[in-house]
Amino acid sequence: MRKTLFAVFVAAVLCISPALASAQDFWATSRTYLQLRESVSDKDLAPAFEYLDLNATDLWGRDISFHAGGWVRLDLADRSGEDDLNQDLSYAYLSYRVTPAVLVKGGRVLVFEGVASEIVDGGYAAVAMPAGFRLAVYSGVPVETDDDGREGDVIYGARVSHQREGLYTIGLSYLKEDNDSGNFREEEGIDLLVTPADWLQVTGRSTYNSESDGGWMEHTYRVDAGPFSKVSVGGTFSHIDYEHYFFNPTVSAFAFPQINPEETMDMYGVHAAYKYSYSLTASAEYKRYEYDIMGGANNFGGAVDYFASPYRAGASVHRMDGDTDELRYNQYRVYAQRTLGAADMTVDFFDVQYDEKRNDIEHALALVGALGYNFTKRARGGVDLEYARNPFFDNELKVFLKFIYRWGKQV
Amino acid sequence: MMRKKHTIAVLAGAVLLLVAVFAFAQGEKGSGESYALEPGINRHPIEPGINRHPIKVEQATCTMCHPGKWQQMNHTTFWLDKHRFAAEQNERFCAICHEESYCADCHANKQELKPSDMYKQSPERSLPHPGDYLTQHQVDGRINPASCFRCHGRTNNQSCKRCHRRGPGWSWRSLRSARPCSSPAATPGTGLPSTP
Repeated sequence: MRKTLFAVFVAAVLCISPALASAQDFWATSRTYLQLRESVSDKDLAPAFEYLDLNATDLWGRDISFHAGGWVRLDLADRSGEDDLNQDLSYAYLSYRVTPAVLVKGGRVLVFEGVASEIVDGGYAAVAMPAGFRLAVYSGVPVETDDDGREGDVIYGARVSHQREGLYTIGLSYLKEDNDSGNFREEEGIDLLVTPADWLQVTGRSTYNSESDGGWMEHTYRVDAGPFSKVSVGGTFSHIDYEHYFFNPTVSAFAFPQINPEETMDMYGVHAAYKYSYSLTASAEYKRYEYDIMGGANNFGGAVDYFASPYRAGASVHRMDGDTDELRYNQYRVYAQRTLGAADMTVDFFDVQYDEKRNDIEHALALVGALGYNFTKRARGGVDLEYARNPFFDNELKVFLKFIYRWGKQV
Repeated sequence: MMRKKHTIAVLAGAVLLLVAVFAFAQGEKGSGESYALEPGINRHPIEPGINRHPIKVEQATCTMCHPGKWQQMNHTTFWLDKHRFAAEQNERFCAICHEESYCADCHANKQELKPSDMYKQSPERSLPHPGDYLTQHQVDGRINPASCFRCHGRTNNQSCKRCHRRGPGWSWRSLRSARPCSSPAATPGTGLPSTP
């Protein structure tokens, strides 16, 4: 299937290549990475990645654009396993703005519309209508990790919204997915963004699962207010019903009974930020997690961030205080960055201090040094070195080399 | 052979780091020219009605130039938690500054490199998975598995499946005999809670 998709992609690129050549704007970005690290069994690993993104606009003299991105990974050190070569087409589609109010996309499309946060091999259309209404529809074959093939797989959905400019947007959305011609997902949702004043915004969503026995998956709402002088504040509430939320996953980590379907989670949070100046911001947050079965936990902490070009630095401290040992720990972080002409350098330090040792380890540390250099405005190179000590690795050293090049229209 | 390459790479990195530290100590003597190459940042024309941002901004504080309603779009410390609400309302807000690849870095299928591994030069970004996330993901997965599910429930989970396998007779204990690949979750005797 992957080979077929790749062939289709290559054919599509070839078909539109004459148009690409005449595109008013064409640009592509190549990101080449090489990681060097060891596995737990002391085996050398050297995965090399190539990420390529292509973009072209104003094709065929119309408001048509083409966007595509994909990656390939080859392990240069371990060629023995089935997993030493991997690749994927992340997205690839033609976008056509038929009129200022009508947008159509076709290909491998990213869809973010209400309950849908999907990748679809198919089509997408959005229409802005009079009186502030907007309709978006999509249909195709879902792009998911799938062990049973794609035959009989289909996904479709829609979102209708109403907007009063500067005041609110409220949307109703629907998603239906079949797997192997059988029902797999059916979700409905309401989402909103309300800005009754410039200093106040309410956002959130509620999602209902019709494919499970029927029940609310999620209610998540958030209020952000400010800035008042230099202070911004906000609050978050989230309710998750595990039985309806974790429905038909494709990985065992989220499957019942590993996830307890009887569990629900309520999270209440508040946050505040104080912008002392353009350069200096301090923030604090508190979250309370409550579970029907598992007890509860508090997470609270603060952070500071300083930025005055060419310098940036910051630090944060957080405490997780739960009912069980694994939910009691402190998190610390310190980072510093400096830009120097065409070069930039970063040092980043993480430390998690457990109340109870894990695998005889009290601190999980990671120290990262990153160095980047812009050879030209099109070419950038970099190297990251990371040292880590944690419950899994006594001493781990990872090297990450990267080279980025951009063709086409200058940025 | 690989260990030799490893050593060479480490030495090369160390030399580059030393050069950087030396340059740092020397103070800024560069041209002061702004280098703008950063994949995913969009500065190209967009569809009628909305223009893409004409200049690169050092901090996404919209209200520096655009007072009023734009202040809720400021990319503050808590923006990561909030961005999905803005994105699902109207993707064109994101397209003002961000290319497709910017979203795809985290949201596209079967992402193999965690975002933090690609943006170490931007430590201020509150990206997921910082530091030793192999250990930490077990804790986060217990605190709020829904936050993991949004990105890894049905997509972006090829790496997860190396250890979190399903099938007849599957149990979390089978992790201990799983094929040790890039993930060391098969390490026996970790004493960590089971969060398969």
